[in-house]
Amino acid sequence: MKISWKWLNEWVDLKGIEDAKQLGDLLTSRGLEVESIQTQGLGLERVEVALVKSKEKHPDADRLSLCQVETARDGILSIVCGAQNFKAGDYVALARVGAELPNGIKIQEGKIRGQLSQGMLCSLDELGLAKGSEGIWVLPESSKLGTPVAEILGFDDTILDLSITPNRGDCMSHLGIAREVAAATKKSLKFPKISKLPVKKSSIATGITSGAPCSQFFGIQINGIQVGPSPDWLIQRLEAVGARSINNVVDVTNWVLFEAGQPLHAYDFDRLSGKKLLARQAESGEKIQLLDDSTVALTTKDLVIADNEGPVALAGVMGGKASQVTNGTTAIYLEAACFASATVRGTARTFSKVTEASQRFERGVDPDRVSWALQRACDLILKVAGGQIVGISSSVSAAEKKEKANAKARLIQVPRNFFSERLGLLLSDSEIERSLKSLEFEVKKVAKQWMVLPPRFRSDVKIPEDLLDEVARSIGYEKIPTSLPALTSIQTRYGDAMSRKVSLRETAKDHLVALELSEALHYGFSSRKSQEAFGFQPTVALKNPMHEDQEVMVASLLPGLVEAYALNERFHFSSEKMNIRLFELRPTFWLGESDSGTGIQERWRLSMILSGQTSAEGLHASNNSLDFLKVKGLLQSFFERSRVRGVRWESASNEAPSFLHSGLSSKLTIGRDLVGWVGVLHPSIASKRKLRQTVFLVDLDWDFLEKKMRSPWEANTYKEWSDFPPMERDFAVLIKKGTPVEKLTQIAMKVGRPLAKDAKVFDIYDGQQVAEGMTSAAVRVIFFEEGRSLRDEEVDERSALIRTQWKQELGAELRGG
Amino acid sequence: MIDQLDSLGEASLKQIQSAGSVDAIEQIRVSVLGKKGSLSQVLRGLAQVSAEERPKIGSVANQWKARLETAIEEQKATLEAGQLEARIKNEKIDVTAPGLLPHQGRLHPLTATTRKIVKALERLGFDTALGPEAETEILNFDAINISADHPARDMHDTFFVNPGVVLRTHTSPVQMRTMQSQPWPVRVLCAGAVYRCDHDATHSPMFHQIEGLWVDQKVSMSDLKGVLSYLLKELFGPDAEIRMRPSYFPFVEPGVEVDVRAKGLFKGDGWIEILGAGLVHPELFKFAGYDIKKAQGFAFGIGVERVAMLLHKISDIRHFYQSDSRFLSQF
Repeated sequence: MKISWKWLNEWVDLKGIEDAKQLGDLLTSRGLEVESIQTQGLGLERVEVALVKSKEKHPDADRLSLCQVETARDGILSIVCGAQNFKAGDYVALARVGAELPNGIKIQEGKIRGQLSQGMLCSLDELGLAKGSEGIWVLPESSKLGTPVAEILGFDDTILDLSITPNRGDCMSHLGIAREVAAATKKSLKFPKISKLPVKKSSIATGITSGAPCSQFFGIQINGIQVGPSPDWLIQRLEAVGARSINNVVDVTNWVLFEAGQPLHAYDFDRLSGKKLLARQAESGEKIQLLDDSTVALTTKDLVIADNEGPVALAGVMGGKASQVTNGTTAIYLEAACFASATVRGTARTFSKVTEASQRFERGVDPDRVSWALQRACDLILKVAGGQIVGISSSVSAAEKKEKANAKARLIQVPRNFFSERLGLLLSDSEIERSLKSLEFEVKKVAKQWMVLPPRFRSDVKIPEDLLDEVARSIGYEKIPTSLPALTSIQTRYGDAMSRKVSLRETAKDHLVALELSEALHYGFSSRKSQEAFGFQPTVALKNPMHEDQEVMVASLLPGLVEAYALNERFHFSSEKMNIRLFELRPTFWLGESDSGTGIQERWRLSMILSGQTSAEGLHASNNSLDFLKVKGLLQSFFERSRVRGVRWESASNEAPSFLHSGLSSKLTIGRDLVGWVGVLHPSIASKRKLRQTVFLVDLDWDFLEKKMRSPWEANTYKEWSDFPPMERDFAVLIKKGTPVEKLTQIAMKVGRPLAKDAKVFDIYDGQQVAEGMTSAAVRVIFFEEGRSLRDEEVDERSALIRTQWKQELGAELRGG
Repeated sequence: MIDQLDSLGEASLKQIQSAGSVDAIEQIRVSVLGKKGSLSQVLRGLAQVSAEERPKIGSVANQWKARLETAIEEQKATLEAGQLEARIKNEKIDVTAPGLLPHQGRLHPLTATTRKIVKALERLGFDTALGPEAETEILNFDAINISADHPARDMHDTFFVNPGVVLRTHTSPVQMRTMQSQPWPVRVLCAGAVYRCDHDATHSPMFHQIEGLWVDQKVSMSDLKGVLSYLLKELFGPDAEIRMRPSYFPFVEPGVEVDVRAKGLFKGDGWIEILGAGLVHPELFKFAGYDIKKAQGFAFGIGVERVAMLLHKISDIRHFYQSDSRFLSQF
């Protein structure tokens, strides 16, 4: 909301406040945040009135003219000008050398096509006034040489743009801001004198239907007015606060709105039908064409002002087109009313018509200012548009009458020590009293209580806590000391499901970082298309997305990671491989029953994307690319660190999700439960996205993994180890190609029990020396026994058993034996 | 015979000391001290020697044997040391060749910043709570004193999902969920992603918040100021100053906007808006079922992106969500 320094100064004496910045600081410290301060006429400091003495064609340029211009301080100057719309004898706006115009142009002395030019004649566009206006600005003949154009334009004001919080409806006007300044500077408000309200009845009566959300409805009829342009003082003020001048009558209503915060509406009296204007709920299906030419279909939720024939205004939001004040209007009916905030807000939102009026009604206008504003507007209309007041009509709801009569109902009782205790600052009674009274609150001490009556314009103050803010900002928040709250008890986090979740998530991130992955974070929404490209059908959609690439909540984190990968490849200009190792631990969103009561399940996934070399860089680093087994090893290490046991790796083959290369991917399970998928991105997706490198994807069910993990406070139990040396036996085994090598170690462990403690495949070979269709695997079995050394015979016996079982189950033969 | 032994000994000693390799020494050892060695051969003549001469000669022979053995060991050690030295001289690497680097795994700067804030506040006794990102309108708004017709709902540009369900516009609903699930005292941090329809260099449709809630029987504005002043010093350095200005958030009363100023951290050393806070509004206690006559509390909310942007001087909020390695590799 824009506040004019000059206008504010008419309401409260600003003497003693140095400048707009200081005023801004003062307002900010009282909760009225200043967003910007704008000094009018900035860039016009060196632009002044000059007289064109002569104008001739430039000797060396057809389109330019060479002028001699008389100035107040520098005598005659020579100026080269491109415009043609002026002649000798015209008064013009001259930007002197050194001027820096609002559009950024700096004026320097120089030669244009060989002719000296000592300034510039300006167009309105160049002065930042009328966009796109052509030709230089020719001023009236009455202009005085040397007058700054800022003065001619009335640009001598400073405008503060305030951001008013929704609770402070009372500050949506110069009066409201002046009230805060007055409180802060211990000055009093200067109200303009207004006439008394007329006594005679208007020929149109007002009415409020029972239950309609309107508490006061006043109207004054004025005849014999002359609608036309507003005087300069009125136009300048309105433009200063960002409003457009329309005509003298409408401008006055806006003036009062910006001045006192009370929206008004003027109807063309002759366009109203019947003898009564009614504030009533709209009937369903009723329509009205508004001032902005749009037509809206109303429901019973909307409040209208209606005459005999139907709605003439959308109450508190916008007037109707049919009864608008035009240049032909000779009689008006001026409305001042108090409409309920919620209704106005609802209607303004429904029809997307947030207006200066609706913004004030929805925050609440001062019920004691309605009739004042009406009379103030009458006075001004008579002054700028003439006419005579015919009479007044008024309606006040029963609720309003009751509320006004019963101030007691608004009394707030506060314990005497309340302010000191809750603010943590020892305050004397007189400090509290002074603070509240400066803001027009009535204060009384009754026994151990404060009895506080807030003024009616402060409808936001209802409970004792509301008063805390009033006192604190009067005293100044900087006076409040710092202290620490007492820690009265502490709970262990053991067994707290939430702490466990947080801790496991954060620990997992640390493990992944240690395994040389970096954390990625992407939006929770994405385009439907990108999710579907990976075979995911999003089930949760946004009702009001900002872009179509944010239309659904993600069902998978993978599309986002691949998108990130593609972005990085686009900016990877090196001939070396690009190293990408990202993980993301975030929820995916699915329709379904949930503990949260939202009908949306948030299923957390741990997803990764990896590509590039095993080492980041260095000698021969590029010889060593990431492959499936390296990714597998990394995950095995992650499971180990996270103390997740029993993860099984099986070929994904025909179960593989569509985003993976089925041959180069694995399904991960624990028992019968699916943990997730690991593998190479499907070549069709990779080629569609024109990806250059092999990309590995990991997609794990985090919620499930989390359940399988031990709680952070469950320490693992230490195990005794054996000092007796283990015995190793290595076997070279020929198996049919396609037999999972894991079978060899599984059999070895099963049959070799209890002496065989570990078995591993340490080489796989199917080169020249191996028969077609066969694979050679080297298996090492490690035997030992607690508490004693093993004898060769025992180990040989077990080894024989293992070989026999390999042969029986897999048809495996020992190589070379 | 003694002379014979002495001359053999002297000669062998010379041989040993001039031997050039470990192998040569081994040969000498065998040829002199071995079973068929020259020393043994000399001693074979011992049978012809008289009984009283025998021990004398035996002792000389043993002395020579010991001397020669020591000499062999010494010469062997000298030669081995020489060999090792030669090998070491031979084995060389170009230490200026590039090292083989591991990848640098890094936490996302927002995670790192979140941890910074959480860690600081955990010292005061706060725990972390979680809540859903898709939230009911009731908990996101109504429960925390923002009714449907409240103008403050317009401060939140809300994404709607399902009937009655929105993407949470702040983490405040987690405060309410926490209060509903336990009696006070409450000291909880609610950290996580929140959503608003807003997008430019400093606003992102998804961003991260950490809200703190403290409820106990005696909690004042000065306590809030003390906690926040400590937090801001932890984040922005020991000379960080705090300023509170009145503001308005429906879920607190009074509500304040908090500015921070720290030397050298920001351009112009001016005040920078950093967080919103206030004393918990009684309506929230009512909703949670707390006794409004007894429960007191404060709450605050801080934007993680805002803090990270200030700390690292990041100018565009969009960098956080694009996973560009040129960005991520810097943290």
